[in-house]
Amino acid sequence: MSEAKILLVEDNPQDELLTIRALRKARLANRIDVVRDGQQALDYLFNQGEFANSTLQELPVVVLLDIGLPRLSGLEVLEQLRANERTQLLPVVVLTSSDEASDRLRAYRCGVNSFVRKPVNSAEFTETIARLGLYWIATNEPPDVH
Amino acid sequence: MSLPMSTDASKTVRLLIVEDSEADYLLIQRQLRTEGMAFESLRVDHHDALCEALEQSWDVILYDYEIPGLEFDDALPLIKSKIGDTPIILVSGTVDERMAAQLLRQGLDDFVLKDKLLRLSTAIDRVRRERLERSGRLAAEAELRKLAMVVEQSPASILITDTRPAIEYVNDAFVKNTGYEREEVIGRNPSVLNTGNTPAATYRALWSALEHGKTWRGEFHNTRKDGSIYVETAVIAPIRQADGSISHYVAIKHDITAQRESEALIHRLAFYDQLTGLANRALLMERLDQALGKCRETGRQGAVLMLDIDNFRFINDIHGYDIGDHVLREFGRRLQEELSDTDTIARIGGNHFAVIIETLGTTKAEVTDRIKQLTTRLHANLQQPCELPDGSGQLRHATSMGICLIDGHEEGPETPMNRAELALQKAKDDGRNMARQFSHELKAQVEERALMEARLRSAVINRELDMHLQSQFDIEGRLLGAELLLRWPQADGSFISPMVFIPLAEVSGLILPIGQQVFDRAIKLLQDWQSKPATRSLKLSINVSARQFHQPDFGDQLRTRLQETTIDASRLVLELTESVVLDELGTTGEKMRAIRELGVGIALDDFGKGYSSLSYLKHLPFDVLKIDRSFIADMLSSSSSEAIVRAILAMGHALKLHIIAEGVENEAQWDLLRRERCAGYQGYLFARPVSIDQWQPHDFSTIGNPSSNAYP
Repeated sequence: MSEAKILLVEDNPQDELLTIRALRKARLANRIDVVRDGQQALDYLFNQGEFANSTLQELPVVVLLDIGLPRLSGLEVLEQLRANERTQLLPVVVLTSSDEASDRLRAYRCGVNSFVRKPVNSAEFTETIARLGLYWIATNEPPDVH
Repeated sequence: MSLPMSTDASKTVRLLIVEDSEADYLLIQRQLRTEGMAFESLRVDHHDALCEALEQSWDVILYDYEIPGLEFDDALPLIKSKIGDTPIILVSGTVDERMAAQLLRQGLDDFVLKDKLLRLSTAIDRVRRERLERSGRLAAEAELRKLAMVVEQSPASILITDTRPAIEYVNDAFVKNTGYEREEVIGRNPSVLNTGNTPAATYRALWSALEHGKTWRGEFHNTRKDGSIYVETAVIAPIRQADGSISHYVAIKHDITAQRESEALIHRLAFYDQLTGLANRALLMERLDQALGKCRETGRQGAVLMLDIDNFRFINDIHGYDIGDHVLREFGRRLQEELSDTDTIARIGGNHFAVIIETLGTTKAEVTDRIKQLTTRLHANLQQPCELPDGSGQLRHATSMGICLIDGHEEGPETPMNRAELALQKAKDDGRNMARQFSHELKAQVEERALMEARLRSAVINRELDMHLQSQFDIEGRLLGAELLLRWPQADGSFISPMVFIPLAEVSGLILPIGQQVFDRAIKLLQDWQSKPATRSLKLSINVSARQFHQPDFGDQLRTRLQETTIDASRLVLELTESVVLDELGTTGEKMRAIRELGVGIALDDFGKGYSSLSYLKHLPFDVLKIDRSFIADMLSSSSSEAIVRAILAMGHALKLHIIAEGVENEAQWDLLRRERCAGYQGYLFARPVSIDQWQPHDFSTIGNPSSNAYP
């Protein structure tokens, strides 16, 4: 069985730290790869750009995707993932601090698997992320295409 | 005469005289005596006497041609066959010329007419001389043939060249040894054999010796016709003519390739491990002795590392020795990859490796730092999966390491070896896949542990381990069942916790008899419970260790034992820890499913104690998940721990797992867990572990519950 890994797309270092810490607190030992903007996320998932030389990676079991990203926004990343056969069915969870109803709608239109608002309170944040992690790693069955 | 026969001439000549006339015999004797010849003679006149006489050796035979019944023509073949080259002189009254010529052709040496006996002594001298010359020539020829044969058949390669030098002659051994036919090398320079592997200086020395007319001895690395290289020792000498000039060179060469190889092999056998090509213990000890000396001189510290592949025997048992050997070779290769050429790497037995690092540094900080870096690097490399040689997959194994620093002030190489060994033992005791460095405290710990292991062994044999029960309750406080727990009572009335002695039992293998005792007790207990209404529906949980679970026939053993009894298998729950199920996930799943088919339940114990890639949870047939006590303990003081417990419970509900919280010690914890709909509870708040005799099947109620009161 290959190891189930998580891709975290997050530009805010503090949120990145909190997210990883929450996943580790839930005793998740799974590999967590982090990229810091939308373009890097696409490069990682399509083995292009700075990831071009790495051997074709197995896709993560879930992408935790922030919306407000430099270079290419989370929603644009999502659109491109859905447009590509390899990543069409890849589970993507959008994590956002914004409460824009339009973002949510657009994300669902693009076929997001889950849309989660980042709680401000740190205990809540931990629980939310832990739940997410436990759910996507231990509970959810991914599509078998990749 | 000046011939070599002169000594013979002075000798008495032995004459055999074949003569029928006594008078003629006397005549011959007188004549020879007159001539001054010293002789002794025997006369024979009939066939039998002749035959008898021919058994002796004679210098000359005188034969009278006309003896009735002993005709010369008949006797000649007989004489020739008996004493082939003894000269014969015919002494006869009459011999015509024609007959004489024919007789001479038949092998007669001379003839003398009886009336010319004056010639006789001259004739005798002549034939004797001729015979001596002939036999001398024959001997010389035989001698030459013998020498030629020696050269020809010598086991040494012999090569004769002229002075250019072009090969004139090679013997059979040369042909056999080099693979070249004679015609391929005759006329060519001996350098056809040269590989370029022989140092140029060797040839310079060779020619300088030969040009000075001296013999040269040395060694060549030459090539056979098939290209293979051989080593030979050679003696090359000039051959001089009578005038002193050099006309030829002769080379006599011995192939010593096999000898060299066996010398090398003997060296390798003595100092190197045949499987991995690494040093063996003997060489390691020698190098360690040198390293200690060097440390003393330079004031630098070094280290001895000892490494073991964890659970290597399982690799051999499961995959076979070929794979085992492959793993060992690969292990050696990786050590070489991480270490420098100046470090000695040895395989000192089985899956036991040792490394000497001569210089780590001078200051304590430097040494500590380098050791840390090194062990980290080694661990990282060694734990990479090892590709199987047939491409059928990968094998992963862990490594334990023991380290002992050396500064040269040790008594001898044995001391650091023993210390590194102790440190290795400690690394294994502490759970393997880690490195430990020798210290005197460590030594004390290892010794204490060895003592404890001995005590545990006797406790197991004498069935001194106690079993306790700790009740488990549902969310309403109703008794669900109990977990069977081990206790090791001590002479002073205290107990040693299973957290201390179970790891020890795992490492020492004592866990198997312990597991057997636990299982026997559980069966007995369930039979007892089944006979009483109050306990009939309770579940009994027992802990199963990795070592037990991974026995290939664990499932079969379980089935057989259950079939021997009348107990309801669904009342039994096996508690497995994550570490048990994470080894060899593939076979674990099958085994678990087989156990579930028997009706036996499986609980994942100590969940959250370590980190895990929870992905396996979906794939393995657990029915119970026990949240580790550490989570419960932190739950109230840390909001994030609380959040995690919530998340775990949510996941458990989603996976339809029955979740039991362990170590519930107070009401606040209980309240929180109840709010999150945790299904099962175990802990001091509800019931402490008590001996089986004292245990009662009570439900839990906060009011007036004895175990609640017992909580401090």
